[in-house]
Amino acid sequence: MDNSYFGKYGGTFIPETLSFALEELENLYRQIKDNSSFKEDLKNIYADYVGRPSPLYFAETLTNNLGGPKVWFKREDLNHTGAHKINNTVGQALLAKKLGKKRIIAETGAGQHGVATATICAKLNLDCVIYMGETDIERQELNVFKIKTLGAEVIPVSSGTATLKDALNESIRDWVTNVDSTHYIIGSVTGPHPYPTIVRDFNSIAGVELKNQFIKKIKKLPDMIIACVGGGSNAMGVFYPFIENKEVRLVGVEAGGKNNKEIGSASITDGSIGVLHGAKTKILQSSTGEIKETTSISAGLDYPGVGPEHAYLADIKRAEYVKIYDKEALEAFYKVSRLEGIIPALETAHSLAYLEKIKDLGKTLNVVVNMSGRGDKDLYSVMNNDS
Amino acid sequence: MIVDVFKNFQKNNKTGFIPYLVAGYPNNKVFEEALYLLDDLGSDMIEIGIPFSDPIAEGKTIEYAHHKSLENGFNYDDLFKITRKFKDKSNTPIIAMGYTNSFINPSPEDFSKNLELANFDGILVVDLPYQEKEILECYKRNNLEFIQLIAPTSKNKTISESIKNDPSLIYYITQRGVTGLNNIDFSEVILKLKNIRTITDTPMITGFGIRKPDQVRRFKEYTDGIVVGSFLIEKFLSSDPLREICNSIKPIINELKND
Repeated sequence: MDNSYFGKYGGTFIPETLSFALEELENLYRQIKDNSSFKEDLKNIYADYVGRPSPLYFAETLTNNLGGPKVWFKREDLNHTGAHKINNTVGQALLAKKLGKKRIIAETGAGQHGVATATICAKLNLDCVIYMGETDIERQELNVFKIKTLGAEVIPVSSGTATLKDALNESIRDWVTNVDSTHYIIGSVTGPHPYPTIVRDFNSIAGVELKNQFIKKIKKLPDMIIACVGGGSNAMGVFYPFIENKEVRLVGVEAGGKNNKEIGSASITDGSIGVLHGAKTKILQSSTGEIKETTSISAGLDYPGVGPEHAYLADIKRAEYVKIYDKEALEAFYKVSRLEGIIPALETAHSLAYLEKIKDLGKTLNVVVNMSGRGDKDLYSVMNNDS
Repeated sequence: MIVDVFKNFQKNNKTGFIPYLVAGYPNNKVFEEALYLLDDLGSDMIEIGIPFSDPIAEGKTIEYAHHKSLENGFNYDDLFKITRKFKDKSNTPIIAMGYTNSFINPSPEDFSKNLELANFDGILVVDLPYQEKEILECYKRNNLEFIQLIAPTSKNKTISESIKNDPSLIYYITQRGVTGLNNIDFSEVILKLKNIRTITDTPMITGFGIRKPDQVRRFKEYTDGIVVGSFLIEKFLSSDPLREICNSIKPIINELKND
């Protein structure tokens, strides 16, 4: 057990048919993660294909407007395909190649993980099938078209709430059926061991870069790092290299949904311990353990669970988790677009909204927002919301 | 005890019959009647699916049944009333089959006590790995026997490690995939069942996608029990009278009992 758990969270709660595939994945990952040729392959793709390192940007106008700490953006929105998601998919696609698997499946909510998966599959000549809830297909039409353009197949999921959680269910069902030929690229730090670890490691390139960039630019570490948390992969990636630096405050921002009376998607703030999609973690559930239907203006945060390592960091109080409501996120979406000329993803807008709550902290402090994605995909939802 | 029932089949070269129902599906009344009808037809154990919002190992038919039962307002008080009454009248073992999250809420201790009080004999938790010994121990302490799933992809090491937990039965899954699929490779099934038998003498039951007597005929001698789920649950979608639905499994039972 041991290494499959983060404190009391994690584990491998999956049908037995899949246990050999997880074991195989873990063994391979252990063997090659520090292998120099694998690291070299990954480094080259990150540099020439993804566009890494992503810049560290000082948001001067926004800083002056808020009148509080200095605000910096880690620009993961500038990555190829427009979000942090590609950091994980390129790593896992290379793993799949090493495993000899020629078919890739993935789930997607907002469509970003679907696009990032279809992208690397196109490049590496892997068959790709993306599961997506029917509700999400409607609200993310553009990403669906992108995925198809990249040569992948999109399979609509109509069961349950027809959103991300159901797409995940369907992906697991596909995997159980085609496990010999197929690798499942989970899109967040969720799922059974070893996924939370692997996805974190591939995403932590952002945190590693951030540390170097900060030390280079201002000769010290930031005082606070803010990142949005749905499943929590962008947050885990940027937090992880800083966990050892206890003086750096780590803040995860969850989606509160419409208001404090209705259910949002804040699994750590509002949830309790349960098992979902292979991991024991904090989830939003009824008293008898049925998974609740969540809401959020941001499709990428609209998920009833969270990565087990986040649940652990919350327990040991190494990271703080807060809630931001839809309306606050929308205000930040407009504000940052107008002040900085950067249209953030609605997920990222949740982190940006939190800046309003820390205006009173000293002006000498340095705060980083992980700009997990760009907002192009969300313009349609925002337009609809406004009208 | 479940283990004795199936040890007996093993000893006498017989094969038991195990139907699967979803609690509260299509409604409590029909579910309850079906329990008695299936028992009368000669069931040796009955699996009762605990409906869950996200049943990842189920095919469309059983997933639909889970969701329908929840929509109808499934609750444990009703289920436990039905099972207590059933067990007052019948000695046929009943097991709760479902997903971990149902079995740890509000805690493993509470839920296992509730199942014990509701006269369940055992549990089968699809996504609970053998490594989760604490949860399994808790159920055992409260007199619930447990069933270990083994898949076509399971390694020998998994089989030998998992039986250290002392399961009452091994449930061999006939195919890669969800419940109700139709691509069983019988020569593989027989090979795997024989292989398991070289590792342990724990009684074995077999299921996933079994619908016809001629399928059963091909491998019944290698297993101590056969589970029929999706085939039966599909029938509830028809407008056939309940008695006819339950009778639809008679050919399989006859295949098992008549030799």
